[in-house]
Amino acid sequence: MEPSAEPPAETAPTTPAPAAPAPSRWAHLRAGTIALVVFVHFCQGAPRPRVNAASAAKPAAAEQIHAWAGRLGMTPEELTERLIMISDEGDRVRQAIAGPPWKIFGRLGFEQRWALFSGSRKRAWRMSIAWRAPGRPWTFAYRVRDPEHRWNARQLDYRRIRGVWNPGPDEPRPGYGLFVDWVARTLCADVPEAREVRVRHTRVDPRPPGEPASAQPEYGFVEYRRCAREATP
Amino acid sequence: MKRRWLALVRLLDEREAATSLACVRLLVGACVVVDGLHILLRGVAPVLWGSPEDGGLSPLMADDPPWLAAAVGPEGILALYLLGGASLFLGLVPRAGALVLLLASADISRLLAHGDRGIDVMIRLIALILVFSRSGATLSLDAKLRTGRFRRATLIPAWPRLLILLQLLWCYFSAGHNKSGDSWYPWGRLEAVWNVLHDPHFSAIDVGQSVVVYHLSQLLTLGTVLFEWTAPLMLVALYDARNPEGAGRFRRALRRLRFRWVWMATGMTFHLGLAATLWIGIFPYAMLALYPSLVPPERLEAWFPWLGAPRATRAAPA
Repeated sequence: MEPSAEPPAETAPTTPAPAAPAPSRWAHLRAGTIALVVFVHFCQGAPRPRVNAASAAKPAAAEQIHAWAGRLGMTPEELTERLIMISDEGDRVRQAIAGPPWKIFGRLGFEQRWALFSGSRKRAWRMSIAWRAPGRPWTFAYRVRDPEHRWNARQLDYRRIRGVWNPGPDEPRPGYGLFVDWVARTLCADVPEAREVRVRHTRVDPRPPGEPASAQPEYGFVEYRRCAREATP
Repeated sequence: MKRRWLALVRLLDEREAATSLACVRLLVGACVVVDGLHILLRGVAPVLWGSPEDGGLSPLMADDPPWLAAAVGPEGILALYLLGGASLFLGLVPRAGALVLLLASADISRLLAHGDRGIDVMIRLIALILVFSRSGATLSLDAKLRTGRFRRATLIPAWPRLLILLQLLWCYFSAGHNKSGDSWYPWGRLEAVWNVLHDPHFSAIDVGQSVVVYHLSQLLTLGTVLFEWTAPLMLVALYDARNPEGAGRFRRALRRLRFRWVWMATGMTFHLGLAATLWIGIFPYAMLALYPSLVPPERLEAWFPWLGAPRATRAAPA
């Protein structure tokens, strides 16, 4: 346990004593390089709004802008305009300072703006995959958190695959169409009687205790694919 | 200014026992190996990184694949990813292993951008630091092959551990100031944790509609934001631990609160809680893998003597 009044200093075993020799040129060079790299990374991740007209118009962002405009005594349009201006200016400064070195770090897939559950969505979805034969109702093959319908869960549940099917706040991820193609191809191969495959998300918004659930189910990101089968003679 | 620059140069010129950094290397390597084995056993490599013509999800693989991925294909990229992780875990040529991991993971991030999560970015950043470090000096096969012992009392540059520490604290602070949703704050009724626990795509447990759990989740939301926003104070607390003399009122207050240990314990509880309640893959474990960087090696060896070098092999103090 660390004493609270006069704790012993935690120093490295060879931390130089007061009469330590002057650091070598190499030490200066290394410190300079590390400081530069840290500075470039800081510039890349420094807090700033990243807003443009298109992103500000998306429902989740528009909702936030509306709420904040009210708090700040501005109109949503004024706030949007100001945010876009700050965003553009921030980008310009960042580009001027850290742009060239970040080309290298960017190619290594680096990022210093960490958004971990940043929005914590009030809008939640539950993805499901279903198939049907001609004249028959839809049959679930896979449904998130449904132990009865676990078709290909081994692959679908993997975090990197989920990154493709789990939608953003307002729209599906760019690879969603390809994901549906892959699901349809695999499901059609696994279920010979399937003629059509559907991937869709059902709204299951979280609600505080006591708040009634929505009576009408709402669906989003619905995609259909037909199974490409050889014509039977 | 010159005095501060000299202090920085001296700080980055310090040497310390390799134990803390070796623990980070070993634990990050273990997380990568586990993740790689998940990919292998689930057979998702060709799906994730194959071209659409081959049944995969990566248009880039067909149009303009990164050079390494083009050379070795999806299974080859997975093999390199696993190789890099195993090299770090075992401490066998870990610098080369970190480089292989970095390059393979960078290609993976380009092949399927939305499959690449925050923790993958973190692992790449740590891999780059490990490329330039002597993390294999102890608790490694390298040490065993060179000296006949897994644990060695050797001093290595301290700056890679300090950079990992800085990266970890920045990650939390950045996550804090990027929390834009109202639900993280009192004006959004602090419902963020409640919302996440009710998101079927992430939640691993069914918490129902309990009022008690709802209020507890509000406390956890507040705790998460406070934990993330106070990450920079760890720098002050760590500075104070090294330089206890001349502390002002603020530093003394942090010391009285045992801020450093309380903050670390909160972080560990936070990640263990995430692991128990959410379905988020290796994220909590890989973040916890970085925590040894927050503890100076001599302190870590005092807590876990079996991590340090055997007494007989320690060099006599100068």
